[in-house]
This record gives sequence, C-alpha cells and structure tokens, in this order.
Amino acid sequence: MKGPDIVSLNVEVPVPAPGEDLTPRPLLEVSGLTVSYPSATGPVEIVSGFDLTVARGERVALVGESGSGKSVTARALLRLDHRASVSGQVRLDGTDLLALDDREMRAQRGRRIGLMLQDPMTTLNPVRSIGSQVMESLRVHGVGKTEARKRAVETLDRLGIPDAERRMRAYPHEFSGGMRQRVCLAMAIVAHPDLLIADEPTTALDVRVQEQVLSLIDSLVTELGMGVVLITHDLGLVAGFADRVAVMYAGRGVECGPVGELYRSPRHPYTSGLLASVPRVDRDGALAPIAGSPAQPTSRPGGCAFHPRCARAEADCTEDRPDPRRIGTADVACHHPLVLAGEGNR
Amino acid sequence: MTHPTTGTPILEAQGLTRSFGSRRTTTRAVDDVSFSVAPGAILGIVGESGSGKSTTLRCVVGLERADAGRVLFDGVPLVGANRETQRRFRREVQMVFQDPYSSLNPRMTVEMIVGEGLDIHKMAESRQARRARVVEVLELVGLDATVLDRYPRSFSGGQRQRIAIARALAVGPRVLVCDEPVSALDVSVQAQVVNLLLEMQQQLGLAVVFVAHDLALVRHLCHDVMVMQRGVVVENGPCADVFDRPQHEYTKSLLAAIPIPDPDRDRARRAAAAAERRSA
Ligand SMILES: Nc1ncnc2c1ncn2[C@@H]1O[C@H](COP(=O)(O)OP(=O)(O)OP(=O)(O)O)[C@@H](O)[C@H]1O
Ligand SMILES: Nc1ncnc2c1ncn2[C@@H]1O[C@H](COP(=O)(O)OP(=O)(O)OP(=O)(O)O)[C@@H](O)[C@H]1O
Ligand code: SF4
Ligand SMILES: [Mg+2]
Ligand SMILES: [Mg+2]
Repeated sequence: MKGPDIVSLNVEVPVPAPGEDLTPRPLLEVSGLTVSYPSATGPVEIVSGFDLTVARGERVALVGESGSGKSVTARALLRLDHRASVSGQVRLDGTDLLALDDREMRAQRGRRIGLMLQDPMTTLNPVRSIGSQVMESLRVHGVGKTEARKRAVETLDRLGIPDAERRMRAYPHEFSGGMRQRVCLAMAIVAHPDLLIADEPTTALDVRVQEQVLSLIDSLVTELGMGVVLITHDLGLVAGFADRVAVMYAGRGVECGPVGELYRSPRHPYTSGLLASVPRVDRDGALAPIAGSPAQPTSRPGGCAFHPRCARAEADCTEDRPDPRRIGTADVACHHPLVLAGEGNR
Repeated sequence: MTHPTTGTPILEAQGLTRSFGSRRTTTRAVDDVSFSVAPGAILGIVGESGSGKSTTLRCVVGLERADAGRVLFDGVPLVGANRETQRRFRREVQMVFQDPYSSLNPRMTVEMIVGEGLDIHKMAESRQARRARVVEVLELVGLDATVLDRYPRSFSGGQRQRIAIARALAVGPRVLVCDEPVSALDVSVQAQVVNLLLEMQQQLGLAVVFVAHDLALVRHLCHDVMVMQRGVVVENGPCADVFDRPQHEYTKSLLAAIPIPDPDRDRARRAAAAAERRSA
C-alpha cells in the first residue's frame, strides 16, 4: 500500500464547513484512548478511555503515580509498541494518527512530533556517536550535514552540555546520566516539532540544569507555538511550567484543569492527596504519602478505582464509575469532589 | 535528627581520583574525593550533572578502577584485603544504579533478578525460602508476589527502580550505595521508600550513601551532605549547617533554584531568575 504524500500531510488546512465552529482546532486531540497488553492471563487494559487536548503553544503536564499509565499513553500515541493494542482517536492537526501505517507514522516523528522516552539507554544507540544521533532527525528530513551539525551543537549547548562541539564525537557511555537524558531531549526537539511529548525529561537533573532545559522548551513554545505534553511526577516542576495539568490514576484521567486553580483548589481527592505528599524545602516534618498503594492493572477495583484509598468514598463509589464532568474550571471524574463554599455539588 | 557519627566508619573513601580521555584531552571526573560513613549514618551527595557523583560511587564499589586513592571497609583497606573481607564487602555493600533500565537484565524475571544475590551468597536454604525472601523485599518497596514471573520491559520506570532497590535489599546489606534511587518515583512511593530507608537505618543501623539532586529530599533524609562540582568536593558537613549557611556559590545557587509547588510563588521566582539571566 502506498501512503499519501508526506508533504500533503504537512500542509493540510482544514476548511470549515458553513456554520461550523470556527474556534481553532486543537493541535492534539486524544479521545477514548484505550491500550491493552497481552499477558499470561489474557489482555490487560492499562489505559482506559483517556482524553486529552493540547492547543498550539500550550504546555500540558501529565501527572500521576508510578504505574498509572503515563508512559504507556505516550508510547501509544505514536504506536511504538507492536505488542500493545490501541483504540480510540488520536488526531494531530486533524490527521488520525492511529490510522497511519508505519511509514507514514515515521514521517510524523521528528518534524511533527518530537518524542522523548523515559529511558535514555533504549533511545540511544551505544555504538553511534552522540552527534550523529542528534543530527539524525534533521538529516532524515533533508537538512544538509553542515546545517544539521550546527543546529545539533546549538541545541546541546542550550541544554547545558559543556563543550558541546567536542562532545559531539563522544559515545553514550562516556556521558553522565543527566547528560544522556539531555541528549534524548535534544533528539526530540532539534527539528522543532509542532508537538513535543517528553516523558520525565528532567528526573536526573539538578534544579539549575532543570531550569535551563525548561527555559529552552519554553522558548520553543512561545516563539514557534510548539505544543507540549510533559510527563512527570515532579509537581514542583509542573507548578512553574505547565498551563494545564492532567492527572491520571489507574489508566484514567481523573482531573484536568488550569494549573493555578488545580493547585489552589484540587477537586479530586487523588489530586489533593498527591499535592499534600510533595516534600518541600520550605517545610519540615514527615512526608504524608497517600495511604495504600496504586491499583494494579490486573486487579483494578470496580466503580471508582481510587475508592479503597479514598477518605471521601461512599457506597456509590464502589459501584458506579464516575465520568468526568465540569466543576469550576476543571474536568473531574469523582462522585464527591472537594468543592468550594457556595459552589454546590450537583 | 540524632547524628550517628561516632564509632568506626563502616565505609570510607580516601583521595579517590579517576580521569577519562586520551592523552590529549583528559578530564578528571573524580578529583581527590574523600568521605566516610558510620553505621546508621546517611550521607547525601549532590552536585551538578557531570560532576562525578556516579563515577565516585562506581569507584567505591569497585566497578570502576580508581587511578588513585583507596576504599576502607570496616577500617580495612580493600586492596590487599583477604578473600573473606572482599566477599563480605560484596555482600554487605549493595548498590542501586542510576539507570533502572539498563541495570536490569531483560532476559531475567523479577524473581531471578531479586533473588540472584541470595544464590550468589548462598543465603537461601530452599526454593521456598528464596521466594519468601524475594516477596518480602518486593513488598517493602510496594510491589507484590504477582510480579515474580514478569520481565523488566513490562514495568513502568518507577516500578523498575523499585525492583532495583528490592534486589539490593534482598541480601540484607549493611551499607546501601544508591545513585538517584528515588528520582523516577512519584511522591507517594518516594515517601514510602524514604521512610523504609529511615526505618532500616534506625532499626538495623543501615548506612546509606545517597546521590540525589532533590535537595528537599536530601534535607529530609540525610545527616551529612557533600557537594561536588567538576569532580571536586566543594562543601561538606552536617546537612543542617550546609543548608542553612551554605558557603560555596554553587551550593547557594542550587538552594535558590529549588522549585516550590505553588504556581504563583514559583512563577514569580522563575520570572525573576530569567530576568537576571537576561541581564547577566
Ligand atoms: N509492555 C508492557 N506489558 C505489560 N504491562 C505493561 C507494559 N508496560 C507497562 N505495563 C504496565 O502498565 C502500567 C502503566 O505503566 P506506565 O509505564 O505507563 O506507568 P507510568 O505512569 O509511566 O509510571 P512511572 O511514573 O513509574 O514511569 C504498569 O502497571 C505497568 O506494569
Ligand atoms: N566511561 C567514561 N568515559 C569518558 N568519560 C566519562 C566516562 N564516564 C564518565 N565520564 C565523564 O565523567 C564526568 C562525570 O560523570 P558522572 O557520571 O560521574 O557524573 P554525575 O555527577 O553522576 O552526573 P549526573 O548527575 O548527570 O548523573 C562526566 O563529564 C562524564 O562525561
Ligand atoms: S468517586 Fe468516590 S472514591 Fe472516587 S475519588 Fe471520588 S469520592 Fe473518592
Ligand atoms: Mg513512566
Ligand atoms: Mg550520575
């Protein structure tokens, strides 16, 4: 099968039908994303009906505890795992990504979507130089060698890799953990993608380098209108970076809203528990983690999956799964959300 | 926090030095680094990316050859120590690596990975005893028996990091040398692991050397802290002193850059920092 011309994908301009809503279409529209993996006991659903939108120039953080499905979601958007079965809709500028074949998908990567995975060592090829790997996503899109080299050095330099020019010749094992992580980010952003999906891009970095990395991402957002999905468990970092936050629990979105309101008045008991368990340098005392442990995909509780750990749970929580609804500025999936005085809870 | 620095250090590094590169361009990744930890003490190592933290730890546990300097275990220099001391060192000093992806063998199940040390050091009497111990340490880090037969690739980043911690704990070490052991963990699992380490430190006198970039966490966990920059120790001492009265410029700037989980305050702080960068 011959896929459509790559170029035509890049210039596709949606023509609104008469009477159609003229508000700009989001850059990324994910709806009902469901991902399952085979296991010894049959398929296991890891992500269930997840929704997310990202506008141009918008920074969205995807947060949630370990094992909630953040990385599985990221990989499913680009269908990186052939073992996973993925359904739902993923539209990038209107193009349905789940309908593309492998070759068309590859054409989207690099230019349209920059993806940085959580584990640097599976992204990096141990026997190729750092330089050639960062240059690659420019080279495959036809950028000349000299130009590609220049941009690769510049990107590494702006990410705080000391002596970047000389270090282009080094191999991954000669880099420290935090340097490798930045190389992977450089590979994702060097071609200035429309959308960046970065999975834990700063876990190995100290706060100063972290700021440097985020400010480079920020400048691509403000200057080029790049949209960002930042996957992280670092809520301190999210506070300063994101416009909007999507919280995931047991493979579902539980709360999504603008960062300021979400931090000031979290609606979902899970969001509020997450925020309460952040260690802060301006505070002493024991950490207060959410009681209990996250639901495993193989044994997710019925109703609201969070109910065994939730202090607000009532009888209905064990039976009916809450669907997201709008409360204030946020979409919240909870039967008994935390509400502000006078707001009422319908 | 009481400060258990009395008694013989269980682990001591003296003047560790390690360079990389060709004759033309050598970099001293680790330059004359010394520290010691007493039983029940927790030492934090912080410093910018590439400052030599991982290389230091690798020299300490013998994964990297130091060009100069030596390591003492229970007061005995390891080089030239008898076989028994070396064997004890390998069992009682366990390391958790920075990268939970490449440090787990993809062809081994979780049970094999976590139980491997028990076999090497002949610590399990039977298969049941081995499995029971494996499950016990998995539960300590918030996993359970359902993961025994799975392979590393089917775990999330934080789950893999916990498997690596369980592997290190399985043989009952007296010293844990951890390289960013909780950086891939979300706050609640992080708190669980941190509280576990504190409990083992208090009840069993476990000593911990802990590389981390999260200063809030270091402050919660560590008695002493050592700050590295370009291979050199630029500051060290009791955590409270270093945090409240940082002497070195680098330490000061690190402390100033810690994000605060409050969008309004953090944005104001970052905007000020960005303005300063522009005017610099
Ligand atoms: N290839 C796979 N096969 C089977 N199960 C998987 C696979 N990858 C992940 N899982 C399971 O899916 C769940 C979600 O994993 P995922 O990696 O998305 O978590 P995460 O939210 O990214 O967590 P972390 O913060 O720890 O990285 C986990 O319970 C994990 O064990
Ligand atoms: N095998 C090697 N060959 C050449 N250079 C190396 C090698 N291993 C480490 N280095 C260099 O030594 C320096 C210190 O690296 P190290 O991994 O110890 O840093 P780190 O403090 O752990 O950093 P991070 O916080 O990013 O993990 C870096 O400049 C690194 O590039
Ligand atoms: S639906 Fe019920 S159990 Fe779930 S978070 Fe809301 S109150 Fe808690
Ligand atoms: Mg992940
Ligand atoms: Mg390191």
